[in-house]
Amino acid sequence: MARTTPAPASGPFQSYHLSGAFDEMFTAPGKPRSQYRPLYKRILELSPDEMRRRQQAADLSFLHQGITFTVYGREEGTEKIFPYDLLPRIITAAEWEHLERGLTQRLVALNLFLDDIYHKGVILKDKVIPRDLVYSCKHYRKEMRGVDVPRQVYVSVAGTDLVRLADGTFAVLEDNLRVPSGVSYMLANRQVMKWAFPVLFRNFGVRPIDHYGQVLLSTLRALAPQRDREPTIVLLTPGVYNSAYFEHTFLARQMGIQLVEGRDLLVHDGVVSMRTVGGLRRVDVIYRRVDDDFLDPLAFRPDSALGVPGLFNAYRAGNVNLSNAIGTGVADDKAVYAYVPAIIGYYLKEEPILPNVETYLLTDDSQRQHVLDRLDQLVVKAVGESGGYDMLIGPHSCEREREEFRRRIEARPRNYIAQPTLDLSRAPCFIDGVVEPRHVDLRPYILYGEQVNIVPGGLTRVALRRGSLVVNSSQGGGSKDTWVLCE
Amino acid sequence: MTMLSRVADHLYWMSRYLERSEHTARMIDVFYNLVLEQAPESAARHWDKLLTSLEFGSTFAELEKSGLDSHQLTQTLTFDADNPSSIYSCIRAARDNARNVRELISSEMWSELNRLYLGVTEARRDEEIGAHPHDFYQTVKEGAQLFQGITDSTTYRGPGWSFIQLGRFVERARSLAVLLEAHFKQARSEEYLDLVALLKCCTAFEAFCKVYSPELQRARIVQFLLLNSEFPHSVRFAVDRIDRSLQRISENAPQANSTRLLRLTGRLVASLRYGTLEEILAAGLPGFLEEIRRQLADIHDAVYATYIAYPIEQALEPLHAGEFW
Repeated sequence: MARTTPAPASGPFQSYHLSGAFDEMFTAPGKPRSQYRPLYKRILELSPDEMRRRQQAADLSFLHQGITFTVYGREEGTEKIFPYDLLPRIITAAEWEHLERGLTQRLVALNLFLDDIYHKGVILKDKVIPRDLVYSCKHYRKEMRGVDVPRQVYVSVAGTDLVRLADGTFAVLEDNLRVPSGVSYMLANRQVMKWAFPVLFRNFGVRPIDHYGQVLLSTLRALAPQRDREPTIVLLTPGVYNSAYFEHTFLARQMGIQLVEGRDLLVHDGVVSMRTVGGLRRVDVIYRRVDDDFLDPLAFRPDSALGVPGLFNAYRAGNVNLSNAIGTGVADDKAVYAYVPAIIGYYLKEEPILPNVETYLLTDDSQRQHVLDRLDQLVVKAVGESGGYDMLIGPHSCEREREEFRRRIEARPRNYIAQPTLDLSRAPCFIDGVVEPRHVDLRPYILYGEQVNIVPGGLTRVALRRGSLVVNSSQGGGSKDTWVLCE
Repeated sequence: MTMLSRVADHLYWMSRYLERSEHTARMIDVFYNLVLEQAPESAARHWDKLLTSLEFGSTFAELEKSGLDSHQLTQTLTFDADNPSSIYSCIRAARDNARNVRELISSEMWSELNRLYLGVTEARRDEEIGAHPHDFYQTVKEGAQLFQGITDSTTYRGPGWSFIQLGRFVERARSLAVLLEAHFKQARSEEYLDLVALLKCCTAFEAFCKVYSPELQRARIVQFLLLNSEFPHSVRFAVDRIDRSLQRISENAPQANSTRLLRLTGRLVASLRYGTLEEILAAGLPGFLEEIRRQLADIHDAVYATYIAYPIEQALEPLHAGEFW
């Protein structure tokens, strides 16, 4: 039986079916959005063998550069390449301008919020956000009350997760305000992309991101406690066994700063120094990739071997600055997240530019009941976790998992929130020789020193398993290059 | 150029362990070949010398009593993960150290060391390796030498380079001193095959024959392996390099108490540079070698006390005087 099929039904797009989710590339079958047209044309021109060859070259380049991450909970030394998809995700200049304004607004407001709750707590007195909710947060640090941080900047490096809803609206899914990672993949993806598709890249007018290291360095410099001399800045890593160690080495090299471990630093008379072959050298700013809990065994977890005894005292005395500040996790708690639109309104007297995703607070009896009745439809997340751990995706769960989460929610309702299962937008990915749609999110990296700075791009994470909604690298996700266009 | 003490420590040990693995591989290879042509009782004598040279801590007779044959012994010296001096353990330790400073060594260095490690790991699982041990030891020696060649040609000549050189030559000087002591302690060690083996353990047979002649005389061999200034596997050559590395480090990273360290190395250099063979033999070779080992241990400790694990109080003095900022 003869059937007229549009062009994409054959060739590389033969198994590309649109669904209810927003499609980044197509408005209708065979109808790419204008920003994707040159890419679409190029894919149709290239033979599957050629595409495969470029994908292999890209994979090999990641392997040779040692761009790997460690998966926890498996055999020791499980290093994997972060799976990389060849086809770029494209963001128009207008979309980016909107995102940039929205992310800036959000980060400025969250910093005002942190400064407020660690000082006067006016927002709590005004009952915009319940006092209990803030104080019961696992990442709230009472030790930070009354501590002044340079420029009142608490979060100087954020990696906000954005998703695109069915109508094409970008919404914020999570604020990562503690030690967000992944920026090295953003930079490495771009490098590999330029090797794989040089001509396409040149003709597209893609905004550069290579200066991220420099912008991060000037951000950290702007946060030095003493401004009368050139500050010494270091990157503090938990060490080679950390899952993001590659990124730590990568960023230290990009910025030309020392990569230190806790044992390289010591505190004497409230001053932090690093131990070098030329003697002790004073340290002014620490870009720390170590969690709050492990920073200082005297102030926080006493069993931490990763930290520096006395660091917190030096910090409180204003002799050293930490990026990010201690205690920022209270602002990316997933229950506090529900109040971010109110926080923006309260401090800035503005409407939020980027909306939140609808969120149910399980401490509220009626919301909790609503959620418990619909566990098979909703997503449940632990408030203080990241990386896709301790999470239930209702529609993809079994009865046993739902019972387990029901039990956990009833035991500790403050510990969880629920959200609708989002039909994340989908972007074309090169899979087994053809192009198929996969769900994606977007994590831009926002820097805040003297002012807010966002390198135009981000990490587009891809749920590579067909139908999967989980993009975390620890859970089978990959990534692709993200192109922000000049116009 | 600032260098963290921890980084210097890793580079130093990376280099020492790799030098040790190469030395051990060469020693086992030479002795394995040697005993092939020996009657069992003199084989035991040679095994004993190997064990002493590698500071194994038990004699061959003791090992045999506990049921270990010569094949198992070479396996222990080569592959045993519980023996910290086995070739496998040394290469693993070298790699672990390199891994901690991976961003500071060249990527070529890392990939060569990684390749060597993976090769040894694979050989460990290979049941057939005992049938052609020479090929395996050859691979280890070549891998270690390739790594050193790559290091020479890709490393910036800063303090990192100096610590790599330091580790390599401290290890070399030490293992040469131990080997010479073990060799000349044994009676009958003047036999031709013994002397050939000694030279081969130091990759010195060919060079020695060029400088002297294949007529092997004890005095000439001691002269060559102990006091020669141009041969890379002589004690004097290694000590000269130790001294040079430490001079460069103290220029790059001035430390108040480096004077003591430089005095220690200067003294050792002088004894090898200006001492004569006649004096050394008259005073007793074993005592001289033991003294070299002691001095090397002092140098190692002084390197730590000066650059790596220095006491805070000592480091704080210049701070309070405001010399650093």
